[in-house]
Amino acid sequence: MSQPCRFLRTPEAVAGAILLAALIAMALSASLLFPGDPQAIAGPALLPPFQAWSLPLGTDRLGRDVLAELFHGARTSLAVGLAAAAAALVVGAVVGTLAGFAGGLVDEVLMRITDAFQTVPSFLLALAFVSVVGPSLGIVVIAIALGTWTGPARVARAEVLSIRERDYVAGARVIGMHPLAIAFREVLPNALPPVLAMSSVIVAAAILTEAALSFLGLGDPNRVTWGGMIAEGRTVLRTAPFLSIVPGIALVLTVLGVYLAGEGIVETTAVRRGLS
Amino acid sequence: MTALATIRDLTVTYRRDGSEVAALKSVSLDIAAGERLAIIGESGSGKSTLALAIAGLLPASARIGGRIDWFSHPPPRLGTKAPPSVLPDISPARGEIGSFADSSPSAPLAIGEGRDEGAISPLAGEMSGRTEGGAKDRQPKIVPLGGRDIGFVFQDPSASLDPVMTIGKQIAEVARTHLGLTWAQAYAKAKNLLERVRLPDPDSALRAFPHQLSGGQKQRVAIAAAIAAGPKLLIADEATSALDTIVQAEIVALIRHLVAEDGMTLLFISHDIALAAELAERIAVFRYGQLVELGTTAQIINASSQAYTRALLDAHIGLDTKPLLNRAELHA
Amino acid sequence: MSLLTASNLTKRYRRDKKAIAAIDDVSFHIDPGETLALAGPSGSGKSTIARLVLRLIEPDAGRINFEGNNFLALTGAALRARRARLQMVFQDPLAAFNPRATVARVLDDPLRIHGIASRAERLRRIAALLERVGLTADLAARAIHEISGGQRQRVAIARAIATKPSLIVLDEAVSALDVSVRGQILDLLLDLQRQEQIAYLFISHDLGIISAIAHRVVLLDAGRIAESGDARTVIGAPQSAIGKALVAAAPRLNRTTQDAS
Repeated sequence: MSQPCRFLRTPEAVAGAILLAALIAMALSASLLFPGDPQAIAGPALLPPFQAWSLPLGTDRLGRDVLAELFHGARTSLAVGLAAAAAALVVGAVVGTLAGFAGGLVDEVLMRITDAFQTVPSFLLALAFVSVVGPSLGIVVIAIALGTWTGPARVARAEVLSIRERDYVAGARVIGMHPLAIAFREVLPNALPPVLAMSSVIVAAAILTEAALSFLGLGDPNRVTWGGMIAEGRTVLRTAPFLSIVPGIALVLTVLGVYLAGEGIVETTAVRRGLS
Repeated sequence: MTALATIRDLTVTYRRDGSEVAALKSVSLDIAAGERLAIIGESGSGKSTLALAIAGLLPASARIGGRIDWFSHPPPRLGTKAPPSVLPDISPARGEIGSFADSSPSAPLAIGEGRDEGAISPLAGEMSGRTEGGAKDRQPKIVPLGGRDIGFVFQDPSASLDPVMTIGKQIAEVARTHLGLTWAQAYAKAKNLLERVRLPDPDSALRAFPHQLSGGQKQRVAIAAAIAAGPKLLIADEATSALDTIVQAEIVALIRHLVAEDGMTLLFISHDIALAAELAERIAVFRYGQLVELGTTAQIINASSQAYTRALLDAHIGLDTKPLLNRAELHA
Repeated sequence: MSLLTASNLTKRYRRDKKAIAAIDDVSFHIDPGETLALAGPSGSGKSTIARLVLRLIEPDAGRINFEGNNFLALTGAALRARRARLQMVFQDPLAAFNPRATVARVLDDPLRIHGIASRAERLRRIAALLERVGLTADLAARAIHEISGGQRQRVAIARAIATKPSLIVLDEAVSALDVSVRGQILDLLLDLQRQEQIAYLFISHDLGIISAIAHRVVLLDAGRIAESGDARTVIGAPQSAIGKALVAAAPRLNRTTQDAS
């Protein structure tokens, strides 16, 4: 059975794929459906949702279109979430592979560095980094990656330690392959599956961390983000709760979608050992 | 020849990723009580599937057709359903085989039949064509209780022993479960079994863990656990294939000795026809899930009627076959 | 002159604070184009010697001379370059390859690493190698796990001869194969030896296979050499205890009739 076929047979994969597809559609169509600056005033302030056709989700304190902000915010959340997760996975996989494959002093040094990063709570690390360097999209991505790369590093290293002893790695040495080539062409691709299994959790965590940073006012001030929207709605939580609830629901659905789709991918790509 | 078990048109199909693989196709053979029967075949011949089917260890997803009927002299006590013993984690196909628990002597249960197909009197002619033994030798058919009437030794002893349980406890557990002994009695029996399988220093072996033993020692323990409950049938599925030649010869001699001592029937699965020839009285040759030939060892080795069997014999490379290397070509 | 000379090799392992000698003062030599078999029970040190010869592990003492040079003195790029002359075939043909590899990539790797040919020429060589080991050239596109065990071992042999080595180490190379396939693989190995003058270090616990293809044999017992000499002579009349035990333990068919073969 081909992989796409197997993917579609897993219920959680399908659910996750639908949610993710909706999210990506939102992000891509934002400029199409809501051209212009989403932070421009579009109507009267604090208009409740479902009152006006042109403003289906109402307006915020300054009269900005909530739906437009939602769609544009999807872009930021998705971009930051995916970029930060990718950075964390790449850095983690490389560090873990080098440590596991080289062993000895290199392993010790890299693992102590990993320990250092791991002892600081990831959110505080991101917070501190952004506070010091200044908020912008790129900095936020780096800040989040700094806090999350250690998980993939440890998982990758554990896999590599076991793969290192396999016959095919010895075979690669015997034919004269350079150690770095062995580490990154033979070992790393086979060590990836458990690392990739963490990816859905990391993407979800990255999206939430970005939202939290924006909520605290440390996100990119020129961009609309869901976290920022939730922060904006905090002051009028009693009179206009929809301003915080709507982006909040969007966050929940996004994280759920990423997680389910990730589980589906893990299920699909898991090596099936049939009866021998 | 009194039969211990008769197999008729046994067919086993595995379902894997949506496709079906026929592992055994309409296999019929008899296992005589007290004999040493070897099942020979290459990979994919179905020999392991046959062993698992006889022992009731096929996974739930396997489809089974045909029947396996059991005879027993004297009929063993019927008791509670046999719990999964020291055998590894293949769930028995309980649904297909039917319940062992409430079988009574007059209601024979065979694999592939449900209970509601009714009792068939053992004297009715389903054994048609077989005149050996005759009706007077027939006892009421009893379904064997896995782990009690059948002992199973697997190829990889590391996989069939629990790594976190001491050797003594694993063997004692078998004895306690099937013979209803107290722990003290069970441990004493375990020590006695370790002596019988010639494990050096049985006292410290009782307290040892599997990883502290060598491959050959672990296999001795596996054999001890398999015979702990006094089974009628011992199945050894490639039990020596993972061992080197010297240890293999020792284990084969041990099995031969134990089987003779306890009056067990032996089913020896192997890909090595020479090894089988040294141990077995009869040999069954399998290929692609079908029985190719069945006969006494002398018949199979020296007077085979099947081309495939002769090809297998010719392919054997041993100390008694001529070398492939032409020694005259050796460098000067 | 010998192709490979091992002198006084020793390798120790530590277990439970005790030093155990996996190999103790082992010396042997292999001449060009001959097959030297290493036989012995499990734990006797055969695989350790194989790994030492291939420089997968380093000895605690001893020398290895290969093609006239001090083999143990080579490191880094020089060692990797010299590896073209010394290859290996493993016991388990499935574990011997990257699970994600295709046949083409497996055969391309040694050619590419040692700069043997341009990319276009390499494709031709891969096809030629496959045919040399009795496979069809269209197998190159298949994944390793898709082909049969016998085919995989042929691919392993093709990889081993790709760089035209003078010595191949075969560690239980036919033990995991079906009986009917073993003879074919051994015939292939002998054919290659005749044509390319490749020496083999053949490791096995099966004396039957050794007596079929080896010129000389070394019997190991607990890390030491118990006996060595011409294969047929040693196996026909072993002098050491381990030799006698190995010969006695080998299963025999004892056929009274032999088909003309």
